[in-house]
Order: sequence, then structure tokens, then C-alpha cells
Amino acid sequence: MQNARTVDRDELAPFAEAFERTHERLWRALLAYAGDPEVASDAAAEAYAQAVRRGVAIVDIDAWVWRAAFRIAAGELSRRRREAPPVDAPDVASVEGALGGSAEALELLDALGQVSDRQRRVLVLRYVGGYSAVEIARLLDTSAGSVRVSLLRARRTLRSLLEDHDA
Amino acid sequence: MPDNLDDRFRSLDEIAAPDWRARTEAKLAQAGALGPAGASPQRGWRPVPLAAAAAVLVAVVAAAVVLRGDNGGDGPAGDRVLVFDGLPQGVEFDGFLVCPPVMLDISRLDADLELEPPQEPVTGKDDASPYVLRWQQDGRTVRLGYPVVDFPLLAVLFPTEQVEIDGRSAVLTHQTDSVLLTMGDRNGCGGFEVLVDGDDAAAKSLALAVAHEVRVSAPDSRVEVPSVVGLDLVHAQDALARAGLVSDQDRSFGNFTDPEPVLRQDPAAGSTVAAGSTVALTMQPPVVTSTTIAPPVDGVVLPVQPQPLVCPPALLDVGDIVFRSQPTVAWANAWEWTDGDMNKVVHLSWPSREYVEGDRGVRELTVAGRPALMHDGGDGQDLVFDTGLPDGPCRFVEIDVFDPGSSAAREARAVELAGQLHINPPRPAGDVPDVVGLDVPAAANKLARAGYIPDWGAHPALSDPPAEPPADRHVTHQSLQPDGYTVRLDLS
Repeated sequence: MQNARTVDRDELAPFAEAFERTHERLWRALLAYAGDPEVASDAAAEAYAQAVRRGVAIVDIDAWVWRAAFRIAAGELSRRRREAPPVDAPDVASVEGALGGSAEALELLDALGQVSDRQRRVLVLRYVGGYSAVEIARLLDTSAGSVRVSLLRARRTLRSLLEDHDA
Repeated sequence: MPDNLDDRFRSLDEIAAPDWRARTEAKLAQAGALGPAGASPQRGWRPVPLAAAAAVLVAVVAAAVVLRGDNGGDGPAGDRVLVFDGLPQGVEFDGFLVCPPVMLDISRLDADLELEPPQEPVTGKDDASPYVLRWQQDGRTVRLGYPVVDFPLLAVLFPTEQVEIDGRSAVLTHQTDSVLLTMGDRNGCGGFEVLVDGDDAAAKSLALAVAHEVRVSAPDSRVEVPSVVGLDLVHAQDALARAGLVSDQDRSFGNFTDPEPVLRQDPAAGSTVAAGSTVALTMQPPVVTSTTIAPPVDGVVLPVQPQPLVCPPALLDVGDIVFRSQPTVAWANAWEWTDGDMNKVVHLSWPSREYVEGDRGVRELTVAGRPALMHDGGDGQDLVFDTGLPDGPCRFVEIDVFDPGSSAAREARAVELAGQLHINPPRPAGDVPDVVGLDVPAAANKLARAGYIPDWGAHPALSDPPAEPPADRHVTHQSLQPDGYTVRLDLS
């Protein structure tokens, strides 16, 4: 690993606090985004590990980790698509088998797998991450206006997909 | 029911999240970053490079094949690179080009080049992409492509440094596992990017060496301009790029995802121009005036979406507003259009939930003689004002203005738009629809489309968050009020 540095365990305290604060929410957000618990766990862990290696250089640990984790998950999904036939929908069966979850949750994951990557990100950040449009805009390095446009359309798409499920 | 997405997403809480702390520590230990107490590495982890540019470059690539065949392994590398008029014989693409391969002169590179394989289906203009060449050099993977023309999605900020190559200025970005060298115009075909695996001195040297060998220049040849009128942006860019031409469209009129046809092109189809020339494209009507959109009623000119409405669109007279893009009536009556460029968006709607987010403060004011609130959302101003209509979901109108400018400028624009917006008196068409038995969103939608204002008892004040029609309640009785257009709904 390039640029590795040794981290004193005392330096880990803020990261441990951040972990306690957000680890479940982040993991579920990544699960909803990627549809794969393994990708979610790896992306979350890698993001925290990279954050720890940067140490005090990171001002806002939560924001940094969320950004990085989604970037890593996106990279992993891209890698998988390169190496395997395209799989657009999250692997809901693996979630059901490995982790359980209600039919409603699985339907939601299935529907999320059918919306575009961009729309899925804003939906997940909004509804699982609990971020506002302004915060999402910061995470996505875009404007709140475009986030709201994406959210508007994403909600419309998701509602339609869920209605199909419910029908 | 899918109406409450908050509830839907809460169902994910039922899925137990694993404790991945040990995995994090294993990664730190694996990287040598954690003290001796770190956990041992887990099996099965494949490090995923945190390479923003790699992901951006890779994720948007639409070019689909590896150069092959007739360019085969013989001869110098310069014979096989993409210096030609159009694509080589036998090369098939299932994606769309943005910039012409003919302009990326890499004839001085000595490498076994291939095109990056496709990443994602190409469905809209945002997905069209420059193509990316990839090769191995000095044990590293090197990628070369035109600068990305797209919205940044998830960006991780990395340290950068300015470098100079042959008198040309470039930016070198140090990423976690790679370096990205960006030369020239980031949003067009006049520059290029080099991405090299690894963020160390060797990677930097390699990126600089590659950049030294690359030129963006047009061949000395002339090409015929194809006709792209009527094509959407993706196909127009692709057709021009394949002809060796650069497209230049006025993005200010763009929408975010919907394909828009090219109305005009300059030079005209059939003209003969130098390869690498720019063809200016005019997308969809540059200015849409009130005469083309009024009256804003169902199925006339405005593309009212099939999603449930709450208020009759005809209440809002937008006749004095000059739109910079085709406005649409979206979900829950939100009108939206771009207001100068793609980052300037205007929403016109009855208040939506989002207006309370990102609060930087709310203040009261008077706009066009009406009580109003101005909400500063940080990079957007939300103006809510009283229409004077009866209590209910249609009493307050919201104008959201987003653009990268100042709060004062956004506020001024919102006030200006409010002054140009007129509230039409409700004009119901026909008898009151029977909505007894319907859930409230369905009842509101049916009434709104008939020109009536639904009133289910939600009377938010100006400063209150709006109340969406409750999906879990049904209409048990309806009564037309004396004003002739408000329909009072009693609910179960």
C-alpha cells in the first residue's frame, strides 16, 4: 500500500466514535446502493481504514467516510461489471439468504436495483443516510438544485416500481 | 403502499448490519498502518482502489471494443493509434463517442493500446463519454482519454499540484492509488487526461512522460459535415465525433436526462470543413415563451406527467415568464426548468417537503403585495408566498431558485419570478368528479385534473411544512363549497 503510515491507537478514538455513530446506517446505505452485503461491508471497512490512515487531515470524518465508501462501492460494482455479465439489479437473493429481511425490504432493494445509479445514490443518501439535499450535494460535489431534481425523479421512479411490486 | 418512502426505507432497519470493525482493523494491519495490536488480515478482501479519476474515466466509458485486426502487431505503434478519418475498419462500438478519436494523436506512444471496455449501458446524454485508451507500461496500467464531460458524481477531494509539460500547464492529482494528470480543457475535446496506477514518484514520472508524447491535434484533412438535426445530443455528438468533428452545444438549454433534438447545426450538413472543426448545435427551443405553453392544462402543450396532481396546473399563469428550457410539470405539480445553464434550476410548485431542508434561516417579506417567506437553503433560495386562494393545499406557492451565484442574486431572481407569476382563478371544467371511496392522493388528483381544489382539512400556515395528501385515508363524503371550486373532503 502506498503512502502507508503507522497510526497510534489514540488517534483512532475519533474514528471509533464516528464508527459507533454511523456504522449501521452507512452499511445499510451501502447495501441499498450496491445490493450486496459483501460489497457493503468491504466498502465501509475500506473507507474507514483509508480515513484512519489520513488521520487528523480529515476534518469531517463522517462526510469523508460516506463519500469514500460510496466511491469504493461504485468502483467495486464497476469492476464486477467489467469482469462479469452486467447485473443491474442488486442480488436480492443473497441478502435474503444471508441476512434475512422482510418482504417489504427485499422489494425495496429490488426496486432500487432498477433505478439508475445516480438516482439510487441520492435516494439512499436521502432516506437511509438521512442527509438533506444540501448535504447530499456536498457529498456528491454537485448543486442542491440538481440533487433535488434527481430526488424528484428518483422518487417518482421508485414509487412507480414499488407500485408495480404491490400490484 | 409506496406513498411513504420514509416507511419503506425504514424496512431496511430490519436487516441486521454486521459489525465490520474487525474488517477495518484487518485492512489497517494489512496496510501496515496499525500498531501490533491490529487484527490479522481477513481472507477474501480485494483492495478496491480509491481512484476517483479511474472511476470517473472508467465508469463513463462507452467505447466498447479493443482495437484489433488490421492494426495488428506489426509496425510501429504509430500505425495502430487512432490517427485516421473516423473509426478503423472492423471496429465496432456499442457506445457513443463525445470527442473524435482522430484528434487524439498518440502516434509517439509505443504501447500495446486497447480501448477500455464498456462499463454501463448508455441510456441518456449524461452517459455518453469520451473513450479511454488503456495499456501497460513500466508495470503500470495507464489510461488516456479526453477529459470527462459529465456531472461529477461522488468526488473525493485529493491533493493536486500544478505541473508544466513542454510549456503547457497541467494539473496532477494525487489519489489514493493513482495519479491523474489533466491537461487542457476539462470539459471538452481540447485536452486529455492520463491516469496511472499508483501514487508515487514513478507513477508521476510515467504520467508526465505519457503527457509529453500526447497531442490533441486535428489531421490535415477535410471532412464532410453529417446531418445531425433531429438527433438527440448523444447521437449528434457521436455522429460528429465519428466524422472527426467536435460538437459544441449550448448546454444552457439542456435538461438533465431527457434527450433533446438538435434544431440547428452550423456548419450545415454537407459542408466540407477541416477535420477537428467545431460544429455548433442548438438544442431544442432556446427560449420558450408563454405563447407556446399557455394555457398550462392537461394534455395541451405542457407535458403534464401522469403522476398524481394536487392542484390544478391552470391556477398558475406563467405567461410572463421567459423560460430558458422547456418547462415540465412534474410530480405533485412541480414545474421545473433550467434558468440559464444546467446548474441553474427553477422549481415552481406548491410547497414541497424539501423546502425545510438545509435551513440557513427563514425571514418574512412581502412579494408582489403578498405575505411571503424567503428560505435560504445554502445554495438555493426557496420563496413561499400566499396566493390568496382559499385555505388548503393550493394556497401557497413555492419558487425554488438554485444556481451557483450569490444568495442575493438567487433571491432577486425568485422575487422577479414571483412578480411574473399570476394566479388564475380556478375554472373547473364540468361537474365535480365523484371521489368518494378514493384515497386522498387519488381524490386530489382527480379533482385537480378537473380544475377543482381539493380540501382535506390540511390548512398549513405560511411557515408550516406542507402536508401531502394522506395515502392511508379515504374519502367518505365530498361537498362543493360556495366558492364553486373548492371541494371539501371528509375522510375515514
